[in-house]
Amino acid sequence: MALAPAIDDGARRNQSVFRAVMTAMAHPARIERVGDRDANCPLPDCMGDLAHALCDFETPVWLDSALDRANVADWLRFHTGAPLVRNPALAAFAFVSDPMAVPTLESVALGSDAYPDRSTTVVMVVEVLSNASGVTVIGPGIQGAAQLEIGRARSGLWDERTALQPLFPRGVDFIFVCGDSIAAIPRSAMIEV
Amino acid sequence: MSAPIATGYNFAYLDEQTKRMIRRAILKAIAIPGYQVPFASREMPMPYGWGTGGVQVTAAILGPDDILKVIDQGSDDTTNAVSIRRFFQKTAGVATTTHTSKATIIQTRHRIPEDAVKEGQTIVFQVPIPEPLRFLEPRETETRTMHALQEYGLMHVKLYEDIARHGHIATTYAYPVRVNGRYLMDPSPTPKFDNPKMDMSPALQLFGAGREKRIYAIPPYTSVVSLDFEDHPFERGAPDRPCALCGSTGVFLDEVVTDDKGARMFVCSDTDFCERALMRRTAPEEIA
Amino acid sequence: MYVAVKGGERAIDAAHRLLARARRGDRSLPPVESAQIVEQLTLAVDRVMVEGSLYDRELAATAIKQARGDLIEAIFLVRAYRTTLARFGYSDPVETREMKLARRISATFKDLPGGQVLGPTFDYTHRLIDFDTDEPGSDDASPDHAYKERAATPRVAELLADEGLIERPSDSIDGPPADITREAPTFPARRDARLQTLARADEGYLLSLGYSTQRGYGRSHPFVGEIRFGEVDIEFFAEEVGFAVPLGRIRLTECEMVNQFKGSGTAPPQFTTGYGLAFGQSERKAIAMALVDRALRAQELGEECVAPAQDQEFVLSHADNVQATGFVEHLKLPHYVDFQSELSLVRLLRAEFDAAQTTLAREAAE
Repeated sequence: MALAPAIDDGARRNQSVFRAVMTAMAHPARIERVGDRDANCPLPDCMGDLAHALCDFETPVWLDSALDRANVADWLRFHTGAPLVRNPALAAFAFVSDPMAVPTLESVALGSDAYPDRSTTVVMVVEVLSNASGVTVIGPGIQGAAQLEIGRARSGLWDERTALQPLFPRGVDFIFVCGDSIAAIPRSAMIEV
Repeated sequence: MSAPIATGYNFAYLDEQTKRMIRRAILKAIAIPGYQVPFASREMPMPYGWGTGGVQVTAAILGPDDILKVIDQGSDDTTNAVSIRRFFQKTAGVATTTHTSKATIIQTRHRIPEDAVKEGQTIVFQVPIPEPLRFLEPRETETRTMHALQEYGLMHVKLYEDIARHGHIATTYAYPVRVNGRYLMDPSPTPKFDNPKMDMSPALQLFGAGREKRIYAIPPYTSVVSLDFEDHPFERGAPDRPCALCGSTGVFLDEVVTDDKGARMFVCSDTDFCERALMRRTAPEEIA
Repeated sequence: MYVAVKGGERAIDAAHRLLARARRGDRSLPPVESAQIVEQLTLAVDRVMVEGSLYDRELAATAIKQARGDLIEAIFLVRAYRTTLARFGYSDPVETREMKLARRISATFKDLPGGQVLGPTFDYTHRLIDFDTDEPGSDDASPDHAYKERAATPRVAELLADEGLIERPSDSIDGPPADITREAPTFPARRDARLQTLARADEGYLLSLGYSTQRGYGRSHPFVGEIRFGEVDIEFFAEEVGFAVPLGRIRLTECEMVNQFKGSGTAPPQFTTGYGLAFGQSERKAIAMALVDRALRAQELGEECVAPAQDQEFVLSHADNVQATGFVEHLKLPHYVDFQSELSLVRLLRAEFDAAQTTLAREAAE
């Protein structure tokens, strides 16, 4: 198959995407924009831009079944070199295109008490990102409290997420993706449904 | 962006794979405030111990629109600050400033600026020994377990022994803090005077230790508490006099020896703050 | 009147101009060429390559020249360059059995297949300074030392292994080999990570640690099974073409140490080994590395860990001279602020102490 060329001026693009992710992670629930998307990428929304900025041969990637297609795998392999894994617990990043099909949080890596960083980051496409409604989020990075609405998601997701809170520093960091917008819920954030 | 950019190296020196690796570590560090994330620190074209951790963190986050301020001991003009600022001018062509309020990224060694920082700014600290327990327990395997179990009694014992012996906690810089009620953290060798600035700071604070291969972070609006005891509360140790140059009070002062007969003067350690305070006093109309 | 110190930028520029002048020395003498360093300061070049972790003789020579002969500084230059190079993968294991030998000696057998080959060595030279080395023609008599094409020369350890008298390393490790330049160290470290750390470790540090084991701090009864120096082919398995591609030939020094035997009621007695490998002709390094490697195996061999050389965290965390020199020399950097904090505290404590003394004296007088 013909592979699309890499993003122009990759270094610059990766930097601006990363800064959006860093700001999002530092201000949980805050909606950041990553700017123009890579139109040639088969991953939905700006997920490919995140993959390009964050993944390489050192980061095993898990794909949900809707993404588990040849052109996605080829694109990832060619543009990032990331190995694909079947078991989300072995993945540094889990890419979820269907919010109804996000893996259970028992099945991804939470890290250990000694090495909590050895955990899976879930990058997940959502239907909507809004601060006008949704779950209440408090914790580091938030002055007072924030709200985040992500639209439909597999039932039980937020319950599983709140159940992880007592396990901190073990946990899962979420990056939600919607169009060219992102928002993050790191493990340090406390969620009230 | 008028400075010529060095060719033959990637933007901000590091190759893209290295930047991605550091960026991932930074994201983990932000998600786990105060936890020291191991990272595959690279050799940099400056010695270990001279800011390679901070330089790698700055290089990984820096973009062409950033405005960088670099200070060492509070001053933009100390030789190592000059050297690091030049490195980024040369390898990234980035704009630089000495004004705290104008900078988007402030790389620092041993100080936090006197001017209040604001949301959207990032402070990058250079860290020699990231492990606050290292001088009490030299083994990484042991200290890692202590962090996992939140066993920080050793540090309290050490501080209490200070009180027993000296009547005071005898730690004056790199004074240990607890981040978000969880991790014991070394704030880098900043004077304890600067510790309160870390608490609920609107800026993102990133810490890079190159030789020790660790990155850690304090997100904005995060609680940072200096360890203390009910009967011996944390004392900031504010200087009891104004700056001899600009007259500012409540700022950290350097002691300058002016002759060999015991004469001393005390002046602001934050030289940019001092200069502008002096200008405000002498020619207020020139300040925008 | 005092003003805040300025001029760091100009001072740095001036200092670097002075450095350039000092590096060149007396301009009435011809400058040293890097090619001369490659040919005539070979062992300095070898050390810079091995501790710089980059096999490039010309680059090492250039670094030595730029560093004014300060080898740790030269190693640092090479490392800082190396870190910017793309990483393609790792080579196939080199086959030192096939080494084109320039030198090979065994301390355990008087004669053995392949023989004892003295080769170019300082051994048995009398250390008398030769005041004629600068005289023209003083070096004309030296014969060339060739790297001999010869049939594979079995290693001493293999000879002992035929009788089952020595442990042999397992052929494979789980997964790809460690890469200490790509992963932060964890403890306990796997042997491949340990050997990599030792290979780029400071020679003097390994020498002293190895020496300490000989003096009883973790004694391991070492015999140099053999030390060999010569050229080996290096190959890289290219996924794209599906076979190993020759990359070239490098010079290596290998030392296999035969150590303290072990055994029990159930396990037969066997000698254990320590291993050293270095770029170029680096015998002191290879021997010291083998001693320290063996010492660091104490835990896996069920020995008591009591000596500094047996302590993984201690040995491996302090072995790198680029790290060490950076941190030791960073004490030159300004520490005004931390010192000021300390100074204020000591003044306070001193004032309280003096006040207490005065009170005591007054009470005594009353």
